Amino acid sequence: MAILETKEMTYYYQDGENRRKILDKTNISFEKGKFYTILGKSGSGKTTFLSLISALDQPTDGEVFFEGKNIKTIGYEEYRRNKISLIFQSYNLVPYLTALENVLVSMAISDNKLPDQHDQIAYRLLDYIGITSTKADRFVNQLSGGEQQRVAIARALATNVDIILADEPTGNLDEGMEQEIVDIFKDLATLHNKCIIVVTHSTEIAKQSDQTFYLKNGELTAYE
Amino acid sequence: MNYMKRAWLSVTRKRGKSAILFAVILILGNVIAGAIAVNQSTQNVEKQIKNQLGSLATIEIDYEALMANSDSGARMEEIQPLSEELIKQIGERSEVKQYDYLRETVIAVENFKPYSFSPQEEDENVMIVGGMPSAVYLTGTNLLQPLDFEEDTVNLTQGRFFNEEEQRTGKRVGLISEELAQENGLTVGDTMVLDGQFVDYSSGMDPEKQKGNDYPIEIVGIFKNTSLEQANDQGQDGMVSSFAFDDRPFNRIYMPNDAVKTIVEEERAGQQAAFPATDFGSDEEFFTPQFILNQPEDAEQFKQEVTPLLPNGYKVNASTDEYDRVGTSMNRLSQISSYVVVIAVIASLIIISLIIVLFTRDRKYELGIYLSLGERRKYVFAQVVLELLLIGVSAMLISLVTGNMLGKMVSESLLSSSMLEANQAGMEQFFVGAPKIDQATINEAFRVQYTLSYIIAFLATGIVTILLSAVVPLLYILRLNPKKIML
Repeated sequence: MAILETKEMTYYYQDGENRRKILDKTNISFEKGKFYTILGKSGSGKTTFLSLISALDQPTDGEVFFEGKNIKTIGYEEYRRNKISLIFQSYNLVPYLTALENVLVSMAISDNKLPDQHDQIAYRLLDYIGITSTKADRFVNQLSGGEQQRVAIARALATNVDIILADEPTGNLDEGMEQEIVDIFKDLATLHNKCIIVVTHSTEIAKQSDQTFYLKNGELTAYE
Repeated sequence: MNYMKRAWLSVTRKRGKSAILFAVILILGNVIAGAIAVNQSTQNVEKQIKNQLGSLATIEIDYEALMANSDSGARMEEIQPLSEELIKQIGERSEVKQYDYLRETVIAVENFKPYSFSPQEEDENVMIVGGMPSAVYLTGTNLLQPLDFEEDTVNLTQGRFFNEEEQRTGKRVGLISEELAQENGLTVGDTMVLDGQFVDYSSGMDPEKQKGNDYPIEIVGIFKNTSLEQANDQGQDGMVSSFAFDDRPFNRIYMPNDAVKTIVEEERAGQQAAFPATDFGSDEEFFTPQFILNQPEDAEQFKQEVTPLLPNGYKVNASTDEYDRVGTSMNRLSQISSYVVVIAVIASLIIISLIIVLFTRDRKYELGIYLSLGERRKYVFAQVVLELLLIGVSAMLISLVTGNMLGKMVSESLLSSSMLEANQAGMEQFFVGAPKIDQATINEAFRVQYTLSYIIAFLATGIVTILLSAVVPLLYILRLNPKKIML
């Protein structure tokens, strides 16, 4: 059963007086336990698609459903808080907090029922993702790019949601680091039954996903 | 890691920005605290002095206005006496605790010795300026205990007040001052005789005099002018208090109203008989109503609401008017400090708002992260406000102490400089009125202190200013779009 689904999702971009169609009646569904990639050229609307299914923006027409429920009904803010997690290309961590504290922030914001002793869970998550406890206590700007992205992944996992959306998560990383991150995503999908949706322009990552969609001229088509 | 902990970490870890904001609020807080401290102190002085002055209000003929408008306004002959009905109507107002209406008259005496302030004039005090005879002042009252005694401007030191029978029958009994008693060797139980003389001023600078009526009055009590004594004690060293030139309070004799009434009638008849060619005016009775107000603060409202009820040529005087006349420097200081508070609050609003907007713009990504994680906008607001309060309140607590010291220094410097020197009718008051306080007394009473009202006023003003300063940054946060920031 689809955990996330779009129905006739359309989006126009207003560029001065011109109205440019970015997505045209997109119908697509995603399931738990799978690693999806969205491919497309720069400016094709990949990030816009991600912003719509993450409720950072609203479609001009059509709807997005989470477990059969319109996310508008759930509430965009609540949907972001409790149903999905986001990973960004530039990590977007709070600079004056440590790695551990960045993870704790998302746990505190979420309404999802999480076990007590948040600190221990956060340390364990960071350790699982490859951040030692010593590094976990460092301010994030004292960590490398790859380590910061790992912290961002740990933060995404901390709220125990089923869907993780990532926008070019390896865009700022070297190849070796890129593969490590992709491996984490694959594990999360297969071992932890998460639905991972990654927007990327890298065909190398796409090849390793369970399903790839290609976005061109506002249409999203399955890539065989 | 809720918004409160985030706020705390933000304040403690971004030390540079916190320090800048702290310094700005500390400086502005000092100005506001100083101004509030001065303002509160001036208000306290006003309250304290007005309490000392009492809450007595009287309705009197406005001689100053009559003189000023002698061409166009009401003339003395046209002034109608106040009716007893009007006095009663005013006396029943909610601000009035108790009231009386006094029948007053002056009896020129020949051998009876009124008290005179200047000892060297003791032998000559029967004739002062321009051949004016010495006189005593009879003050009739409807009450058993005149209001002046209630107000503690005078205190009974010997004897008693009037009894019901004396009031009802209008018996000629009186209360006299210690000074008058001493001057004439009188004690309670004695009967003094006011040996009146009729004086006709119509002949000009050298008035004509004739032997008048004798008025025997039994002394039932002796009083002391306490308010004059207090004023004298509080006077600045080396200065002669202005009341000292006025002998009237010492030569006042309190009597039942009807007793004064009969004396007035006898006096008028005798005077007319002694000088048949002179017209001494109508037989109309002029009363001086006295109203004890519930509290000195009621005086302004009482004056405003009673003045329109009065016939032409009258005005309301309150004992607290003395403060308004003499306390010019304090009023100016109060005014200046009020302006400083308003200006400093407005400046603080603008400056703090701008600083926070600038800081918030710098934190756009951080706030975008919280919003993209689904944080409720109200908690993002709360974090920013809490950070501001953490810094602001700590700066304000320091300002509470330093601002008070600043206010003390500035006000002392202003009071001792010529900046606030009163533009008062100084010399005029020395001779005309009988002010119970002077500027030195008021300045002496001025103290910049830590009072609960100062602390509350400053903290309330400061916190409201800080919260209002957060409005513009909050509008900025409200407009933040996490998609535009994060993607």
